[in-house]
Amino acid sequence: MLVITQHKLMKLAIVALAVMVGFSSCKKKEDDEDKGNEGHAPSTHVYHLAFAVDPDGQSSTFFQQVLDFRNGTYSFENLGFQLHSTRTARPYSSPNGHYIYSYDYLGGQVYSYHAGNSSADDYTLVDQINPTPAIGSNAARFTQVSSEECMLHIVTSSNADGGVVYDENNNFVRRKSMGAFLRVGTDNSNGALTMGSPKQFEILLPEDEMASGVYISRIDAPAVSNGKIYYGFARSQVNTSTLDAVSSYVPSDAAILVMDYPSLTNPHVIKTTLAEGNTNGFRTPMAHVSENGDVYQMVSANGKPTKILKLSNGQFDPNYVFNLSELVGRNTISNGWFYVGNGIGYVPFCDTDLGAASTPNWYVARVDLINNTAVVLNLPGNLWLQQYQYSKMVDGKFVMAIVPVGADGNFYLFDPASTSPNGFEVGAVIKQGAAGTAYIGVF
Amino acid sequence: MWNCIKINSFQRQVTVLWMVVLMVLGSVCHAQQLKQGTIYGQVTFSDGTPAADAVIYLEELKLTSISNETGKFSFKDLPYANYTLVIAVFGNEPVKQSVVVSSARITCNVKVEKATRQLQEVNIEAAGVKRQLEEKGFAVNVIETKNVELQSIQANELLDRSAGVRIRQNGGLGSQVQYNINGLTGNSIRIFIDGIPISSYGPSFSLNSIPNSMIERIEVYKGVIPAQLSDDALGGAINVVLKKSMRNSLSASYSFGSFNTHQANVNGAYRNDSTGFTARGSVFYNYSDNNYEVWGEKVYITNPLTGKVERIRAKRFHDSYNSWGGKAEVGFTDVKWADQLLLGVIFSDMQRDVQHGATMEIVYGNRYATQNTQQLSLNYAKKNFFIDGLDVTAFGSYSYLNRAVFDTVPYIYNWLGQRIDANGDGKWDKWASGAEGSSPTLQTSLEKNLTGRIHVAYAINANHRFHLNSLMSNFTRDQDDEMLPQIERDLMDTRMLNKRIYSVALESRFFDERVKTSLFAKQYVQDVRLKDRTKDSRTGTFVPFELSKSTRTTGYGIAASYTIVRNVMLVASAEKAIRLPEGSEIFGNAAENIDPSYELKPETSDNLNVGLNLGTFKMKKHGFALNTNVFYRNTNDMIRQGVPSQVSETYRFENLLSVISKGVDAELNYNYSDKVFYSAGASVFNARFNTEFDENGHRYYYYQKRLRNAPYFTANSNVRLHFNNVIQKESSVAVYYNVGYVHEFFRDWEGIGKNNKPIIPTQVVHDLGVAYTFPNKCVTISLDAKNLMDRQVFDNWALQKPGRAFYVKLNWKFI
Repeated sequence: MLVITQHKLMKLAIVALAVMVGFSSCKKKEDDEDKGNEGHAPSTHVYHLAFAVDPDGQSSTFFQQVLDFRNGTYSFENLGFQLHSTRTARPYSSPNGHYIYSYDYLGGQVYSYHAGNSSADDYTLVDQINPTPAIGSNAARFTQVSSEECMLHIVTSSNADGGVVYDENNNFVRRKSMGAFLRVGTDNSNGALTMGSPKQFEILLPEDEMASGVYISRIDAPAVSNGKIYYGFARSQVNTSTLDAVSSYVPSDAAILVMDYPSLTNPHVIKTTLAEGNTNGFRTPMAHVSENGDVYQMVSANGKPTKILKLSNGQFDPNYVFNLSELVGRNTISNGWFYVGNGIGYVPFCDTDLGAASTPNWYVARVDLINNTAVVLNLPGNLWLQQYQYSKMVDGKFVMAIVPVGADGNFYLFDPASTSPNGFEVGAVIKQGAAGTAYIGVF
Repeated sequence: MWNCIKINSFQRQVTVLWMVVLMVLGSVCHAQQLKQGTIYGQVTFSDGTPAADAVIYLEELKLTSISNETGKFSFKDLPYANYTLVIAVFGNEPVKQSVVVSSARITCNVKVEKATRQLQEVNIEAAGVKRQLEEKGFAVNVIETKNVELQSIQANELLDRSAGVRIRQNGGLGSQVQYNINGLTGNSIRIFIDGIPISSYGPSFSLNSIPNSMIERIEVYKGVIPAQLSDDALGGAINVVLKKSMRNSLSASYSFGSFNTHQANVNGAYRNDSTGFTARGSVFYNYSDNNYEVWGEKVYITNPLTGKVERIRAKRFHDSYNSWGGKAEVGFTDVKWADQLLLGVIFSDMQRDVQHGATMEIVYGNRYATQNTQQLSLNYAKKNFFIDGLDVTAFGSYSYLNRAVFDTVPYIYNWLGQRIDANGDGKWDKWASGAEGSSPTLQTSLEKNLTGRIHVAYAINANHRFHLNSLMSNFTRDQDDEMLPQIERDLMDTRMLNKRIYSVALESRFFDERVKTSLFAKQYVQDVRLKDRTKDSRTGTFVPFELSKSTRTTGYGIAASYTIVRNVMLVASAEKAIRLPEGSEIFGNAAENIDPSYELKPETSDNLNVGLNLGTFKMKKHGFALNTNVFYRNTNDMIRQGVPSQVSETYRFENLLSVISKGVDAELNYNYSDKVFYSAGASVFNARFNTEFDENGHRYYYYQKRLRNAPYFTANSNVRLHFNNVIQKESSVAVYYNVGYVHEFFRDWEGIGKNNKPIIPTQVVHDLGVAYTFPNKCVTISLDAKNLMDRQVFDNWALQKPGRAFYVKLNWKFI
C-alpha cells in the first residue's frame, strides 16, 4: 500500500518544480542558441551569393549574404564563409534562406548552416549527418526536391568482378547499374537534418539496349510531383566483347527513371524519342514542377538540340516538345535551367558553334513553355555559366549573378513578365572573379 | 676512440668531428686481438709545458688524436708495425716522428717549439665538415647524428629540427613523408644517399628506414646545389652520408615503445689489415601498429538509423607498418689499387595497411600496400689515381622494385573498427564502388633502375681543384592490374626514362684562403620513351604508338665564401636550377586519364643565397655561433596539372606557374664547457604565386598571394646536457629537450573568404630524452618521450599525427 506523507508530497512537489524549472531553463537556452548571433527576423528572407574556387580540383565553395541586389558592390575578397568541402560542395537554401543545406562531395557528409545577421559571412554549423554508410558512397549527388527534403543518390557500374552479367553461353547480357537512394529531411525551423532508410537496387534499361552494352553511368537532378519522383540519368556504352568504353555513344532517345514517392518503390525507366540525350545535367536543376503538377524536363547532349519535355502521371507527354536550339536558332548545350512560374523559365546555354561548354560562350534565354517562345537576353558577352548552379526569385524578379570572364559583373534582375531581350534591371556590382573561379548562383 | 680523450671545448668537438671524417668513423670498443699495442704519448713544448690540443695524425692508419690539457694522447689497439706520427700544433710547422709498435704499451714523447699564438685557436682552424661545406659558399645545414644516434630518433625528425627544413608526414611510422626546404617541395627537392639519387635505391631506402646509427651526417642544401650532387633539383637537396667504417666493429640496437613500435638494427664491419679485404653489413627491422589515438572533427561514429555523428577518440586499427631489410658489401679497402672497391647488395620488404582516404572521415579496414626491393651495386674510389692529385670515384647499381596495392574488400568500417549494417537488413554495408579506395584493385608495378656515376677530381695546384661528374640513370616502369578487363590492362604503358647529367666544377682558393669559390655548370639530358596505345577520341579505336623525346638543358652557378675577419664569414651562392619534366608528365598515361603534353619545358629557378656565418666565438668556457641565410628564388614554368574539360574528363600537364620566394633562416648555437649545448633556429619565408594570367588570359585571384597549404614560419629550440660519472664512475648521461614550432597556415589560398577556412593549426611539440652510457662504454640505454603535451598535431589538413609516445632503446657495441 502506497502511503504518501505530506512531507514526502512536499519533497515530490519540490522535485517536480525543480524538474520543470530545469526543463524550461533548458528550453530557453536552446531557444537562445537557435537565434545564433542575433538571427534574422523570421519574416526576413535571407539571400546568398555563392562563389566556387578551383572548380576543377580541390575546390572550395563560399557563401555571403546579400541584403541589397540593386546597390553596392559584392566581392569575396577576404569575405565569405567557406562551406565544408573535400572536393566540392553542393548547397541549397531553406525557403526563407535562414538555413543552408550542403553535401560535401567526397567527404560524404551533409551539413546544415544557420545564417546569422552579425556580418555578411555570419554562418554557423547547426547540424551534420553522415549518410555514407547508408548509401555506400562518399561520392553521391544531392538535390533539393521540396522545401522539406533533399535526395541523395548515386549509380555505380563497373567492369570489375560481378559488374558484368553473362548468360550460360558466356554471351554478354548487361553491365549492371546499381542505384542507391536516400531521403534527407531538412527542418526549416531549426536546420535539423534527418535521414530516411536507404534504397538500393539495380536499375534496368530495356533488355536489348543493355545487351548492346548501354548502362546508366550517372544519375541526378530529380523532381517530385504527385507521388512520383522523376530522375534524370546519363547513359554510356561499352563494347560488349572488350568492355572498353565506346566514346562516340550518344543516346538516341530520352529516358527518365520513375519511382513511387516517398516510398522509392516500383522503379522503372520510361523513354521517348521526342529528344535525344541525357537528362541528369551537371549541377543545375534539370526538371521543374509547374503549378498544375506537370514536370518539365530538359534533355541535352553534344550535337543534339536542347529540348524541354513534359511529364505527367509518370509518362512523357507525347504531344509536347520545347526545342530551345530551334527557337534561338543556334546549336546549343545546356546543363540545366530555372522555372519562375506561369510557364516562364530562364535557360543558361552554350553556343556550341562558338566553343565547347568549357569556353565563355554562354547566354541566357527567357523561355515561355506555354507559348513556345525563347528570347536570348541582351547580357554582356564572354559569359561562362557551366558551373552556374542556382538562382531564385527575389520580390517578383528572377535574379542571376552575371559576371563576364575577366570583367566586373552585376546582379541582373529579370522581369518574368517582359518578353524583351532587355527585360531586366542591372543591379549591384559583383567584382570580377578570376582564373579558376566562378560565381555559381543566388540562393 | 674519443672516449679516451678528454675534450673540453666545442671547438674540440668540431675538431673531433673532423677527425672522425679523417679516420672514417669506426668502432669504439676495442677488439680483443693479439699482437696489438697502444701508443701512449705526450706533447710538450721545448720549455717543458704540456701542449694541449695538438693534433696527432697517424699516417698509415689515417687515425687522429688530440692531446689533452696535460699534452697526453693515445692510439689504442694498433697492429704491430712501424708508424709515422704527424704532430701539429697551431702556429708551428707539423713535426714527424716514427714509432715502432712491437709491444702492448709504447711510450712516445714529442717536443715541439712554443707556438706563437694561443693554443685554442688550433681548433678553430681545424674546420669540421660542416664548416668546410659552408666555406665553399653553399647555404647548407649539416646535421650530425653522433649526438642522437643512441636515441629513438629518426633521420626525418633530425631534419625537421633544422632551420628552413620542414618534414610533413601523414601519420605514424612508415607513413608518407614530404620534404619542404624553404617552401619548395615535391619534385623540386631531391634526396641523395652518398651523392647518389635515392631513386636508384628504391623507395625502401627512404630516410625513415635508415637507422640513424648508420648515418654519418645529413647535408641540407638550400637552393643552390653543388655539382657533385647530380640530379635535377630545383629547390634544394638532402644528402645523407652513410658511415663507412673500415675497422672491425659490431653493434646493435633495439628500440621498443608506444603503439607497439619495434625498431632493431645490427651493423657490422670487418677488415683484414694485411689483405685489405673488407666486409660490412647491416640489417634493420621496423614494426609499428601505429594504433595511436585520433580525435576531432573528422573522427566519429555514425548512428546507422539517424545518420547523426558522435565524435569519439578512436584508436587507429588498420595502420600497421612492417619493414625489414639489409645491406651487405664486400671488397677491398685501402689497398694499393683502390681506396675502396665494394660490391653491395640491398634487399628490403615492406607492408603497410592504409587506414583512411584523403581525409580521416573515410575509414578503411582492409586496403594495404606492399613493396620489395633488390639492388646490386659496385663502388670504387681511389685517391691519386695514377697521377697525384687525381681522385676518382665510380658507382654503378641495378635495382628492382615491386609495388602492389590490394583493395578488393567492399565492407564499410567505422572508427571503432566495426563493420556497419545501417539499413538493418542483416548484411554488412558495402562501398558501392566494390572497394575502399575506389574501384577494386590489385595494381602492381615493377620498376627497374640502372644507375651509373663517375666523379673525377683533379687538384691542378694547391689552390685550384677541378671536378667532373657524370650521372646516368635508366628507369622503366611496368604496371598491371588483374582486376581490370584485358583491354584496359593492355593500355597500361611501359615508361622509360633515361637521364644523363654531366657537371663540371672548379673549386678555388684566393687571398690566403680568405676567398673560396666553386664555379659549376650542369648539362641535363633526358630521353623519355613510351610504348602505348592511345584511343582516338573520335572513332574510339586504338592506335599503337611508340615515341621518344629528348630534352637538353644547361644550368650553372657559383658559390663563394669570404672570410672578412676570423670567425666572420660571408657566403653567397647563385644557381640557375633545372627540373626536368617526368615521363608521365610529357607522355601522359591513358590509364590515369593524362593526355600527352610533348611541348613541356623544364622548370627553371634562379636561386640566390647570401649568408653571414659568425663564430664560433669563445669566451672562456662559452661558445657562440650564428648562421644566417637570406634567399631569393624566382621559379618559372612550374609544371602543373591542367584543367580537365567537362567532356573529355582527361587532363594534361602545362608549364604554367611561377613563384617568387624570399626568406631568411637563422640558427644560433651556444655551448658551455662541453656540458651544455643549445641551439635555436627559425625560418620565415614569403613564397608568392607570381603568374598573373592563365592560358586564356584570365587573372588568377591568388596572384601574388602566399602559397597555399605550405608552412611559412617554423622555429626550433634544442638544449642538450652532458654529464659524466653519474650513478657510476666513467658512465655518462645525455639529456635533451626539444621544442618545435610551426605557425598555422591555410589549406586553401588566402585572400578569398574569411569565415570557416580550413586551417592547419599552429603546432608546438615538446620532446624529451635521456641516454645513459654504462662505464664499459659498450651499452647505452635511452628513453625518449615525444609530443610530451599530447597535442593534436597535423602536418596536412585533417590528417592527425601521433600524440604522446614513449620509447626505450638499447644500444650495444660488441666490438
